[in-house]
Amino acid sequence: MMARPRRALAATAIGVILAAAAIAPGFRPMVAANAAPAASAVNVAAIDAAGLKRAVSSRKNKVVVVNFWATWCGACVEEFPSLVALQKKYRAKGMELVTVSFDDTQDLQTKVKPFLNKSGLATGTYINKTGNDLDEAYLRYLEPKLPTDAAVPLPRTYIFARNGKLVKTLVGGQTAANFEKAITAYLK
Amino acid sequence: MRRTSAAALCAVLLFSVTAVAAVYLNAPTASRAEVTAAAPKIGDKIADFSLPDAMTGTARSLKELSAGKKAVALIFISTQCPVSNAYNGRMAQIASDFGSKGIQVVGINSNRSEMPADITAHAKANNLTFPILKDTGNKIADRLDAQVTPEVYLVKPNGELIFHGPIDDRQQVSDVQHTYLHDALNAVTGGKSIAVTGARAFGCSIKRAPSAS
Repeated sequence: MMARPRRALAATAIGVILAAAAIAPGFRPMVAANAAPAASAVNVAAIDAAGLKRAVSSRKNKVVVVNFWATWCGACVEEFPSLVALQKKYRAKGMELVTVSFDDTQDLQTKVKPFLNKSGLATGTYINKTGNDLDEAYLRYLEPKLPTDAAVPLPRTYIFARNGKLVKTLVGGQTAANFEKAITAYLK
Repeated sequence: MRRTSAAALCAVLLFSVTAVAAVYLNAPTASRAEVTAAAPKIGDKIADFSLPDAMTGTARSLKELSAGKKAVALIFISTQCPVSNAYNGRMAQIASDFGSKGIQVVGINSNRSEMPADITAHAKANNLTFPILKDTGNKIADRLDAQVTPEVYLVKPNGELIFHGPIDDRQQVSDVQHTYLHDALNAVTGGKSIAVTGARAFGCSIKRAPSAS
């Protein structure tokens, strides 16, 4: 006689546990989890402004989306899965995602690679050579009109059209819809 | 069986509803303009303001903190940002070195997720003995157009902005080439003009409260 109430109680308890897991801060829709490569799969090369310029120009006839991020940047971590999902969706149409981490280079193995592996992004992944210090050369290349005393928060995303011209600069965390609208405008 | 099935159904429904809600709750906020006000320029007057001290809750005004001082260094800081935390020692040192020379260091925490209790515990743990004000609703961050932590505004007692920028140019102390704030404070306390009145601050973005619109 007691079996049924126990089963009901157990089922309810499982539901509550699952619900609690769902509202936990780290919960995210598992868009990329299944595609995550093995821990050692992601290659993260050190880069500087000149290297980034080469990385962009070498992706000929592509819409190159450059994202500056860091694991210490909450808004970056929030928006990152959207970019990865869009890369998967639009790669065949010519989107190329290039990400540059501004984490301390000492955090490459412990923070950056695990985050990238979890995200499912395995290509176009770089870390700034000077870690979490921003070299002005990046801004001379990407935002030459920015006043020299203007503070620079992350994330920052730059969209290059197929002709290699920088056409869009997005400052601050973006929604997936914002990203998709901005990127697809140049994929046509 | 029926009761078990019903309970299982309820459990699945509860999970589904909560999961969907969680997706929305965790979704990134829509992009808001990072520039929330016209940035004050060097020479502009910063209007007086008052914010509660995170430790005591007592209201502290810029005017009161400036009284009898040569300048006030308003530093936007964070308890969680690794960039800001990399400067804890340097901020404490600057407050100590220049406190007796007429400089008042004041921390301002505008991050929506960092509560006065967190700020107090963080200050104690890191020997930050200068006042740290809680800028709920990021009103002062908006007024000054502060964007990152750490970011410094050096203000004379008459409200004149005389320096705006980072503490220095490198997070690793051993790599520092330009000690911007230190140099500015040396100039102010030495009665000289500040050679470099501004530089680019880079750090964690200030986590502003969601806009009403």
